[in-house]
Amino acid sequence: MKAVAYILLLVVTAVMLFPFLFMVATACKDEAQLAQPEMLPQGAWHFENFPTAWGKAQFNRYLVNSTAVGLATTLLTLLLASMAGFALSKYRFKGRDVIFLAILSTLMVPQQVTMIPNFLTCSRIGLLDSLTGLVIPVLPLSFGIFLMRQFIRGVPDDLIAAARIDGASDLRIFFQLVMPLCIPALAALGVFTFMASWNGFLWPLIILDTPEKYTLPIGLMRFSQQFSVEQNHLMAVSILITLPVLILFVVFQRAFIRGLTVGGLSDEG
Amino acid sequence: MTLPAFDSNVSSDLRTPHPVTRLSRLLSLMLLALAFACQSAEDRDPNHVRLVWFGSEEEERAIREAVAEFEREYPGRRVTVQMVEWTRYTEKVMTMLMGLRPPDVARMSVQWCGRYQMVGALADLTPHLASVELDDFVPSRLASCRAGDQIFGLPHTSIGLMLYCNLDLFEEAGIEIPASPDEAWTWEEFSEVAQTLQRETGVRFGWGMYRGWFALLPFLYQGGGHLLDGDDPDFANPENIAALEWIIDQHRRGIAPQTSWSFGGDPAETLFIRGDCAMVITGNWRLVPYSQQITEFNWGVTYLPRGVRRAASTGGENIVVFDTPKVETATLLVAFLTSRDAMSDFCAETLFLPTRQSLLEGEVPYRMHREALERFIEQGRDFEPEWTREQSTPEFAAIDSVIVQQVELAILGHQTARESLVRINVEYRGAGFE
Amino acid sequence: MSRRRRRQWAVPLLFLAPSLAVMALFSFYPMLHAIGMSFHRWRILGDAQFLGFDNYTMLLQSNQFWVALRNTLLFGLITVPVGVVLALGSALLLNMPLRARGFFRGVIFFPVTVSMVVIALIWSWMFSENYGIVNSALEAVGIEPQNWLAEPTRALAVIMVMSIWKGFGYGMVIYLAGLQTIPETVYEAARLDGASRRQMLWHITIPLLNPTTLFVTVISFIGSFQVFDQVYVMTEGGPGYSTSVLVHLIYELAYVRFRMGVACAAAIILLLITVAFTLIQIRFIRPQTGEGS
Repeated sequence: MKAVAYILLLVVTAVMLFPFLFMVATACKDEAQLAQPEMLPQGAWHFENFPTAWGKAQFNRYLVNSTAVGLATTLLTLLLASMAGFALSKYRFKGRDVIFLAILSTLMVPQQVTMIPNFLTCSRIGLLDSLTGLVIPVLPLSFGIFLMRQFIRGVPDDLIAAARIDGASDLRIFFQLVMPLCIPALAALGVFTFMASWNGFLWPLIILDTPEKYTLPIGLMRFSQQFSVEQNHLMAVSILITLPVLILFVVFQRAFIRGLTVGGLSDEG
Repeated sequence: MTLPAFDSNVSSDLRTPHPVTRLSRLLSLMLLALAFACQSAEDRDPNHVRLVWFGSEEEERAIREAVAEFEREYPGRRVTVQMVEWTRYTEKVMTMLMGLRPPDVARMSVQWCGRYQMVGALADLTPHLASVELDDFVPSRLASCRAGDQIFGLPHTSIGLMLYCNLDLFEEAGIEIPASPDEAWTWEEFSEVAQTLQRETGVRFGWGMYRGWFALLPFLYQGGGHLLDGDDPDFANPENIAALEWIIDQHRRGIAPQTSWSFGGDPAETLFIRGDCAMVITGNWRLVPYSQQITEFNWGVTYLPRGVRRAASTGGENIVVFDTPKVETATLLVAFLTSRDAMSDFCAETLFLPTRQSLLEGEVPYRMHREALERFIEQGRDFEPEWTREQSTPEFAAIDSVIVQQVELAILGHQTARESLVRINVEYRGAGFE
Repeated sequence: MSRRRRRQWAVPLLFLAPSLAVMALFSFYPMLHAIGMSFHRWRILGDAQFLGFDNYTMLLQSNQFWVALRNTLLFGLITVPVGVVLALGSALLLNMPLRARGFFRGVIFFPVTVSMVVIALIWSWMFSENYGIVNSALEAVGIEPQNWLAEPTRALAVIMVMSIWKGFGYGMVIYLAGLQTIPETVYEAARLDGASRRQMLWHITIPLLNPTTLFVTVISFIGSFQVFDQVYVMTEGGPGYSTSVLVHLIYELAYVRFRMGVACAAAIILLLITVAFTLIQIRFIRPQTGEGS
C-alpha cells in the first residue's frame, strides 16, 4: 500500500516539477542560447543571471514593500474573516443567509469592471499611491469569510454552549475556543492570502505611481516590456520571488497534522 | 462534560500571541499604513508634471536622460517619469483617466491618439506652441496630433517595416537582395525568390510576416487598395481582396508559415531567428534583439516587395498632453522632447526613426545599424499622408485586433478573404461611440 | 423588540461589522456600480446615458459572446470536477503518515505559487509547434508533430490541462485543513464496528468533508468562470475568437473598445451564471455535521 503511494507520488512529482526544470533552464540561458530551440542551455549554464536579473530593478526595495503589504493583508484578513465567519456560522439571526450570499456574490464579479469604481473611491478618500490603498481594497474578505464559515461550522455547538454556561463572553469564546480549533483553516487562509497579495499585479499597478512603493510583480514587468527578449531574467526573478511563499507554505503546512486540533476535542471524551 | 481550558496547551504550544497583543500589533500596523496614505505635494505643484512612458530598457534610459536635460534647462520644473508595461498601458492610463487623475503627459501610439481625443481627455496646446516650428514635423504625423483647430500633442518617434533576410541562405542560393527601392521585387518575383530559397537551401519557409495589422496594410496599399471611403469603412474593395488572397495563397502553399498568423503558433520572427524562415517582414524594433539573438548566420534588411505601387508601413508614437491644470509645463516638456536635438538623441539611442523632416533628410547619429536605419527611412517615404489618416481614426484603434483575428481566420482557411474584409467593415462601423 | 432579540442581532453584527464596512466600500459599491453601468452607455468621461437593456440585447445577439460563454462553461465543467478529484485524492494520500510528505505537499503546491503568466508562457513553449518539447517527444515515438495552440479544440484542451495542473494543489491544501477537523474518535468507533478502510472513506471521511467540498467546488467554479490570464498568454483567444472566454471579452470591451457599459453587462451575466451554479452546489452538497448536530 505504502509502496504504491510512493510510486504514485514520484510520478506526480515528475509531472509537477518538469515545467520548472524548463523554467530554471530558461533562466540560465544567455541571449544566444535563448534563440536556440533546445530546452536546456547548450554549453554553459548562466547561473549569474539570477543576481544580474535581481540587480536590474530595485528588487530589494520591492521585496520589503511586498512583505509589508503581504503581512498586513494576511493579518487583517485572518482577523476580520474569522470574526465574520464566526458570526455567520454560530449565531442565528434574520437575514444571515442573505448576508452570506451577498458576501459570496462579490467574488463573482471580475476585477476588470470593479477596478475603476474602486480607483475612484480611493481617489476620493486619498488612498492612491499608498500602502493602505494597496491593502484595504483588495483584502480577500469574501473568500476568507466563506472559508472560515465552512470550518467554524464544524466546531461542535455543545462546546460553545458549555463555554457560555461557564460564563465565557462571546469574544472569549471566539478567541480562545474557536480560533485555536481552526488553526488548520487559518494556516490555509494565511498561505492563500499572503500568496494572493504577493502575486497581485493589476491593482498595485493601477493604484501606485511612485516607483519606490512598487511591489515585486510590478518590478517583474521590466522584463516583459514591449518587444523585450529578456525571458531569462523574467524566469530568474520569477523563481526567486516564489521562494518566500514556498517557505511560508512549508512552515504553515505543519498545522495540517491530525491530533493537533482534535487534542482539545478528545479531552472532553 | 468538561471544557478545554482556555489557556490550554493548544494555544501556548503554537505560541499564538494573546489576543490583546495581537490587536495592538494590528493597530500599530494600520497606523503605519495610514502614514503612507498622505498625498504628495507633487499633485498641487503646477511646475511638477507626471510623464507616463512605455518601452524597452534603452527607451527608458533615453527618456530619463532627456528629462534630466529638460530639468537642467528649465530650473524649477520637475518631471516624474512613470514606466508602465506596454501590455497593461491602456488599463493604467484609462483607469487614471476615469479616476479623474490623468497623467499630465503620455507617450501614445498614433492609433490611440484619436480615441483619447474623442472622449475629451486631451488638452489644447495651441496657446503655448508659439515658439515651436511645426513645419519641420512630417505633415502626416503632425496631422495625427490635430483635431480641428486643436493640437493635443507633438509627433515623437516613427517605426517602419522592412524585409529581413538570412544572407547566408541567399548566398547559398546565389540570389542578390535589392539595393534600392527601385529594385524592389514584385510580388511574383518575391514569391519566386522565396521558393528558390526553399528549393536550393532546404529552408522550411521562404518568407513570413510579423502577425499584426501593421505588416498587413502595406500589402493592401501595394495592391492599390485603401481602407476608407471618406469616413466609411471600405476594407472589402477588390484590390484588398486580391491582395489578401495572394497572402493567403502564399501561406497555404507553405511558402510562408501558415500557423504564424495564429497567436498560438510559432511567430515568423522566431522561425527567422532559428534559421527556419529565409525572410521575414518586421519592424525596426527587431534590430537590437536580432543582433543579440542571431549568432549563427549573417542577416540584413532590404526593401519591401511591391505590387502595382510601392507602399510602406509607418506608425509610431506621439507625446500627448492630457487636460490637467499643468498644461503649460506639460507643453514645455513636449516641445523640449520633440525638439531637434532631443529627438535626434532619443532616436540615436533607441534606433527609432525621427518625425522631423530636417532629421530625416539629415543624419541621425545612430549608435548601431546606421546603414539599415537609413534604408528604413528611405522605405518610409513610400507612404501617403492619407494612409496616416485612415490608420488613426478612433474606430481604427478599436478594431486593430479584429483585423488580425479576421486575417488569421482567412489564412488558417476558416473563411475567405472577402468574408474577412466584409467582417472588418462591419466591426469598424460598430466601433464608434454612437 | 425585546432585549433578548436585540442581543441576538447585536453580537453577530459586531463581529461582522469590520468586514462589512470594508466590503461596503470596495466590494458592494463597485458591484452595484457595475450593475448600474450595465444599463448605461458609458463614455469614460462625462455623464452616462441610460439605455435600458440595449447592452444586454447587443451581447446576446453577438456570436462572439456565445462562443466566449460556451468556452467559459466548458472550461469550468471540465477543470473543476477533475481538479476537485485530484485535490481530494492528493490530500487523502498526503494525510497518511508518509516519509517526506511535507516535501510532496510542497511539490504539488509549487505551481500554485508561481504567477499564471509565467506558467502559461512556459507551457506555450512546451507546446510550440516547431520547437516544443511535446512535439519532439511525439516525433521520437513516431507520431506526427501537432499544431497545438493554433487549433481551437486542441488549444482549449492544453489550456485546461495546464489549469488543472497548476490549480489542484490549492484544493489539496483546503482538503488537508478539512481532514484535520474530523475527530479521530469517529474512526475509532467505526473500527470497533468492523468498518473497512474503503467503507470509512465513503461513509465517514467524504461525508464529513462536505463543508470543505462545498467550499472547494464553489471557489473553483468562481475562479474557473473568471479564467483569463492563461488564455491571454497562450492563444489570445484565437484563432479568431474560438478560444475566447468571458473575462477576455470583458477586458477587450472595456479597455480596447472603450465600451464600459457593455463590458459591465457581460460581467453581470457572468455574475448571474455563477450565482446559479453556486446555489445548485449549496443545494446538493449539504453539510453532514455543523450547527444543530
